[in-house]
Amino acid sequence: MEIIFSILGHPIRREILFLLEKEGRLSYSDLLSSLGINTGNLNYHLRGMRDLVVKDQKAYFLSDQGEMALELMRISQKVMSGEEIPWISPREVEIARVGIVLCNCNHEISGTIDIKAVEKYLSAVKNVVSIIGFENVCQERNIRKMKKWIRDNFITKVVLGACSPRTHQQVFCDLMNQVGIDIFEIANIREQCAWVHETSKAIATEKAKALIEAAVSKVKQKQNTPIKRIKAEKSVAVIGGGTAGILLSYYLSLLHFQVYLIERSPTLGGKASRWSRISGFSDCATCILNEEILKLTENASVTVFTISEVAQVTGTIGSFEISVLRHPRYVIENKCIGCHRCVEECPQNRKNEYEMGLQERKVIHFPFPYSYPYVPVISTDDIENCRDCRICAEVCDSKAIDLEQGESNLTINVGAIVIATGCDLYHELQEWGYDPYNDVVTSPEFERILATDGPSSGRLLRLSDSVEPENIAIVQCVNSDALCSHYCCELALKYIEEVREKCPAAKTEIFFDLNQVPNPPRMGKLSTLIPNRYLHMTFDLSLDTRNGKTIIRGADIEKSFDMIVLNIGMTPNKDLEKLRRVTGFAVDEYGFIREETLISGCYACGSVTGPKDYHETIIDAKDKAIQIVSKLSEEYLITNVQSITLDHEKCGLCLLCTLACPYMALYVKEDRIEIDEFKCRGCGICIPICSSKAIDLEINSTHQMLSKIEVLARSPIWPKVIAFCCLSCGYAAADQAGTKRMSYLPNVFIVRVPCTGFIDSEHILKSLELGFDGVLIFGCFDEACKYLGGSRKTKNKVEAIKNVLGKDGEKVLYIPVSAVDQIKFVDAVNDFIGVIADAK
Amino acid sequence: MLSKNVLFTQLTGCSGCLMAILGLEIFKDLMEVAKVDFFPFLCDSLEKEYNFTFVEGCSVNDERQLMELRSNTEILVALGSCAVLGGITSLSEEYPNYPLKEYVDVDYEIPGCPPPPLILGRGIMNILAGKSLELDDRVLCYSCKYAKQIIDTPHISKIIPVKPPNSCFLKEGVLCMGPIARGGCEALCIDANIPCEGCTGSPSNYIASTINMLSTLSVTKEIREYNGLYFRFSNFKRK
Repeated sequence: MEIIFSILGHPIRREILFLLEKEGRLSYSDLLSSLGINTGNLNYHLRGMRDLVVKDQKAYFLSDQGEMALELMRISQKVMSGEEIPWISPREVEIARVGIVLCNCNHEISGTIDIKAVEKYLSAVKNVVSIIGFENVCQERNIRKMKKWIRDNFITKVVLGACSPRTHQQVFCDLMNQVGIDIFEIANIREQCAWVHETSKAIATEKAKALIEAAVSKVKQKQNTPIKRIKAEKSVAVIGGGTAGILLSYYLSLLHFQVYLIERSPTLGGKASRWSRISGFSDCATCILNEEILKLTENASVTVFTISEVAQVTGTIGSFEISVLRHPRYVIENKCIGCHRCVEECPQNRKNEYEMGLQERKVIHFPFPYSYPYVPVISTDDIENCRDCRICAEVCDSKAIDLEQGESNLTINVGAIVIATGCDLYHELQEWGYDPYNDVVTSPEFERILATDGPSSGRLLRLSDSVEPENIAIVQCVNSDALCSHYCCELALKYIEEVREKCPAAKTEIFFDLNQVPNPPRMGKLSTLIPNRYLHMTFDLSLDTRNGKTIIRGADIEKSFDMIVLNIGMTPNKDLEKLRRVTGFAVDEYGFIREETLISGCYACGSVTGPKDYHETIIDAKDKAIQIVSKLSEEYLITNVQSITLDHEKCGLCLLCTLACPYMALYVKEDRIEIDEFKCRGCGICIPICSSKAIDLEINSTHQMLSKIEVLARSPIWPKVIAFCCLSCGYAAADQAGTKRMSYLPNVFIVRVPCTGFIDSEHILKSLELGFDGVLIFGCFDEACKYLGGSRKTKNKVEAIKNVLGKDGEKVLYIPVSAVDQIKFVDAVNDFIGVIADAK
Repeated sequence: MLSKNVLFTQLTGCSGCLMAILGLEIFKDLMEVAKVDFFPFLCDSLEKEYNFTFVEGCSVNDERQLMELRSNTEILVALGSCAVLGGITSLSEEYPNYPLKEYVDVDYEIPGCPPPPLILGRGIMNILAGKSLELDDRVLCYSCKYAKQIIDTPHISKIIPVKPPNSCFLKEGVLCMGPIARGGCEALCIDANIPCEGCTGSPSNYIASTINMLSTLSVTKEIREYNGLYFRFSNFKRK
């Protein structure tokens, strides 16, 4: 007893006990650095407390007596509250005990990389306490073993040498949560090492060592990221009231979600409401959709905003705030009884958009016979005229027409957002000989001609002379290059059937221009169901009108027809450009939304992500409904804060960061710069611009980056090139190359950044200074950049650096790639390394 | 008896920094705490070893003198932008010059061309007292009278203001290095209607910061390619 009290008499000895309690196991050097005393002093104290603190080969830890002594001190602190016992070491030295988990991935990794050699090398790295290997880390059965390993070695941080974080981040995150580790880092040694350097095993092993060591240096500096608890709103905003929007809203309302359906046009229904029939159904499209709209609007939990647009979105998943801009309809919805008096009296005509311009409508009009809401509308372009005329306002008995109506704004709170704005139709038809009044029509126009409520009341007549055609040609794949519309083959079959019904005498023939057909052609049922003499595959198709007959000319065929239908494909919605400003996402090479780049809590449904037919859209809507409900079913959502931190002490108020931010998340408020955490997406574009280094990213700080570069620069591989890859495009392309097992030179080290805009010129200069022979930057194409112009800023930066470096400027290269363009990635890496090696 | 032997000397330089010391308010205090053994034009003694050596200017083409200074002193201080960043001579194509720290270990660096009175005076006294320099880690804009005026991305087309400005230089299209330059000089140049040249370097890497700034602003091609303009205090080439 006396011995214990004499031991506890000295503050340093007490501190040693507290430290060991907090950290579990500490090596001699860790103890030295955290106590800040010299070796003689420490030896003296450790000898004094040899009963309480014991050591094995590696580290010191508390004995049972030591635990008792601690308990004794706690009690004495309670009893004698006068004495202040230094509870936690005041010197802020954090001791990282890093454990490394290596995955063999069923021989996929260990087949190329010498895991034994990697293990041997890493065990000598500072702060690494233990290394464990698994055949397959990602499997459930490893959890117990890993838990024991973490407990036995007092591991606080983990580095996983495994596969790509793009595909496995969530899997490993769950795994680490289960074993009680908050801070971990993945070194991608499968997609970016084992799978791409199968031919050069020695260098691949060398590279794996460097990649894992860099991850260790990064994880050492990682801190716990703060966590946000958000109450999940049980409501969803659906942007776009076409087929996808209507169906998704209906499914969500069935699952008791509050749905706000926001539509830009005056009516729900979208494009499909125009079609005469939907293939696979015998009923007309309007009837099918009308039924869906009825079911939807009967439901009290659905609110429909027509003629409305999303002006702004703030917030995160679970709690978005959307401001909706409502344009005027000039007719008060709840006063109108739908009597058509105003439409009958209206003196002016316009082209009818619903009938694809084949008919005329009045200025005040019902968009189509089954429109919802069933209220007429005046377009804003015409309103000046109408204010002079006012006939409609005078004839309306219900006084529903208000020609002075203005715009209004309203704000809604939702837990998730769905973009279902659909697509546009291919419209560059001049070169295809499009001429509706000479009977060369597009497929939507043909649909109207066939439709029972169309211009010819359902009879199949030529537009030029209202005569039944005797033969009809359907030209397939009328679209921009190599983009398969997914539905035009099915559509051609539907047309053949309908023509057979309406004009049994008419012949239908189908033409493919093989220059336009996507490779390989996806003809599905078409080639088996149509006799060969009616199916023409040809090259260099052109159309010509002569003496009222239209002639199709191909490489080996020339034939005249009474009517020609251009089966046009889908193109990306031109409104996406506007929407990208509101909710950031990247687009693919054709311009459709890339779903994986949408922010958390934001979904895309229907043909906004690529061409889809009605049936595919139904499946997609159901899929998205399940995803949304499963995400928002918890009462609270727990998310990591991904935003930036700002040190007001360091901030010099130059305001350049407010100019750099694409989302205006940084703003000035009373002599300080404030961050709107809800707007910040964590792209890091503002970080390099701050010379005072007041801004930093919480999850990927500049310091972590620099230490990573330092470690990679020590690798003995020559020549070596560092490649900064943005998460959504560059890194994805590199992963694709891995998945496709495309071999490239192993001299490149890939570093992941959220956006290329995050790359500081210092990172580039430092890389060159520390011994990298070249710097590659793989970012997005300007129009595809998720962070609105982040890639453009990087391009400027690279130009400026080249200008400064002069001759050495050749060592820095910016290359835009798309996420699926692994060939460009591989070629760029090989070429660049070749040039660098030649220059030496 | 004063215990601190201090040497003020000059390599390839313009004497501007040393002259600035003569004009300091603390000059009298300096004489009271330190025994100045050597100061060009003032005094000259035969001491072999010094406690403190303040070096102005840079070492062009011959490092031996600098090596000798280093070996005879306990603490070496680089004084002024030439010694700290490379200065105007670093722009030379034939004999490019590098900061002193590229040749020898430097204990303290006092930037500026010449160092502004506040930085210089406080810096010298702190060094002699064995304390840290207390340089400002914020950028110049903090002390500028036109701070917080930029709203849109400025378009830089001029390097000299046409007339005395009444708002932020950048806003008026004049190149000003304020957003990257280290503060602490009380924005004396701005008060005299001269845009900041960035003589005090940057709180972080000077070259990288300059490139970052130039890539964010919209700058005309002529100015963008005029390296000597914004790197006049620092060599942009690596050794």
